[in-house]
Amino acid sequence: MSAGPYNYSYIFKYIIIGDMGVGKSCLLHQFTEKKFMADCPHTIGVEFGTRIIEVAGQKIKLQIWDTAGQERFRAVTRSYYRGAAGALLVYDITRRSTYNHLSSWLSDARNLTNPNTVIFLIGNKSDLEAQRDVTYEEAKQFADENELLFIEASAKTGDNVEDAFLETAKKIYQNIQDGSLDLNAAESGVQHKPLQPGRNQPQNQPNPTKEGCAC
Amino acid sequence: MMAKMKYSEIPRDLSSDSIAAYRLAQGSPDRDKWKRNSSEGRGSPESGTSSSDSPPVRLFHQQLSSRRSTSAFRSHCLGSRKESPEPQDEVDGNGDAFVRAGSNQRQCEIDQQQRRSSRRGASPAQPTPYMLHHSLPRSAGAKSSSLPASARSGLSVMLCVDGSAMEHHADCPVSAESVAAQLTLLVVPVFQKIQPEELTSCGWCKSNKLELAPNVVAMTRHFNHVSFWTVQEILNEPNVRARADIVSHFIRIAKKLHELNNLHTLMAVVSALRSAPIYRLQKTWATVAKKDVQLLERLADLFSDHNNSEKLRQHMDSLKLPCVPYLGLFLSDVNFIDVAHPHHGGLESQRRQLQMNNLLRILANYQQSDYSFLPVKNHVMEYLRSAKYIEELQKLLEDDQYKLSLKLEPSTPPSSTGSKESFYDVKTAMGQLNVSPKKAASVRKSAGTSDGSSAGHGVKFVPWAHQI
Repeated sequence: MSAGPYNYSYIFKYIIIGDMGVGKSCLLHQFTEKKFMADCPHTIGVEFGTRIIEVAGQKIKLQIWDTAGQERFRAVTRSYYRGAAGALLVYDITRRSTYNHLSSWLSDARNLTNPNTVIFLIGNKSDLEAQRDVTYEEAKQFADENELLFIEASAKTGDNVEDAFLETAKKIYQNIQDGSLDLNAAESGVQHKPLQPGRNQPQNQPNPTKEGCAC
Repeated sequence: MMAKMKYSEIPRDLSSDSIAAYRLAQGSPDRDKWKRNSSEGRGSPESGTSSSDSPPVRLFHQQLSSRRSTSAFRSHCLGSRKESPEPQDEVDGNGDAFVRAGSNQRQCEIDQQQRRSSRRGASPAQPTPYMLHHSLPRSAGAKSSSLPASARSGLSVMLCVDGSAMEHHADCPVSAESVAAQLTLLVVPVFQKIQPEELTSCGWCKSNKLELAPNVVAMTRHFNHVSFWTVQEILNEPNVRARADIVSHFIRIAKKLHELNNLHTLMAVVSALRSAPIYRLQKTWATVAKKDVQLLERLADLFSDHNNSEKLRQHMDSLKLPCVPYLGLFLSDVNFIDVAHPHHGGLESQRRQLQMNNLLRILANYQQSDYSFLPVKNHVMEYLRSAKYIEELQKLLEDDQYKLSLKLEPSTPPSSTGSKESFYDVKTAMGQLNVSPKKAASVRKSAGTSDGSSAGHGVKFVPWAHQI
């Protein structure tokens, strides 16, 4: 449907997880250029939480699923992680409790996503330096120990938000390229869009095996 | 009329005044609750301060007092064991009726847990008072020896694995239909109590959620409780085939919930069946009838987040009341409105108001749902209420569930499929020894497939194989 003017070759599915109030939706809002929420969120057919980006010359559509508001429905967040290629794990640098809960979110993510899911740790609200409750260093160490990508960002100012989403996509793309992410595997979180005749075809396609773009 | 209004086709010109007027014009029986801010209206089923005012609790009190056979029922449950006074450790106060359990049933639960653990030869699980077991299985289990291995499980005694014919007996299996109906009767009064401000304030996200959004919190609890109960009942069964029967039964419960338009509880059951501890049980899923697995997939597909939950929204548009919608969808929508049109005191922006009001109006419409046609079944209610759940321990309990799941069916490295011995592997091997297909069939039958429909497919089936 909305694929019209675009010609993306992949769809990556992301999830954003983390405690309530860490600014998950704000990050999404910022990243999608504040467009998607201008419309009624409950209007059927409105594409929601998506943006097309470019990695290594390939257009990639990011589909971002935000569980905000449903955090307390444990089974939902726990069962719908599956099939995500990327997980953005967010805490609030001004609230230590949200940092302390990371290991719990992380173990969920590890248990529930496929092993190749790229997990990106985001320390949000980096604009509130004066109220900082979690140092960059300790979070960085946590990230390293758990093999997570890490960045501090601000959904308010937009600082580093773009980077978090793009770096995740790059890493996923890299995993596809080097074969560690199997597109044929169910729940890889990546869909390969079949080529449409008459459009400029992306070069260098790694195994266009997966049929059926979800759009 | 409201009932015909579609979720996706909401008029966009309704101010809050016109909504109030609209409600009044509807003559809705619950219209008053939208205006009042009195303590009664905000009575919190969780806070324990005014719990006796809250309909769900009152409902159960009435049921309890009117139950003729309560004591007989209890002594039946307890069998010959003595009734020792139990320390009250209910953290949740007397709020959520579904959460409540008769304290004199706890010893029974603990005993069962211990017995089960020792039978498994495993290190005994902690005799935790929060374990979810209903209190019937012991004596009932002895009677229903016709039910194969599953008779050992509390649930499968209580739940009728293959129909509802025996339901009128006090200690007989309970059909999926009954369970779904009673679960619906449990959630409806809570749902109907939700006040508009609970949503508009985003109160359920805040630390004082119990004051700001008591009924939203109660809905969340119901949801978590049902999911937790579902997972626990399945994991309580050590036998693979019996476990598969229980899974199938929950799938049938889900189907009935779908028929009843109780999407909230349906989502709870479906996501429980797809939660990590259950989803990973490959041997169990290989034994569940294929048609049941496919049914579950269809139900799960309804809740797909794809295109902003397009399928769920369309489904909600197409159905007629009564309906209990999945509240999480509304909460997410409110959350998005809040992010897009933040409100920091003072006057709300017009767009925020407009969007919030649209959402509230739709919710109000669903709140008019009337499920009074469903008969109250006390013995099922009793059973559901006996499932114990303490939200504060949720994370801990979930970890326990995952560990239990690993214990039941240890993880195997993906490469070693040859060494993995599933029920079907054994069965097919047995079948191959018998040249005659007839004989093979009889072997298959004697292997104890309690569900005839599963006998037809000898292929190993894992749920994720069908989810491309």
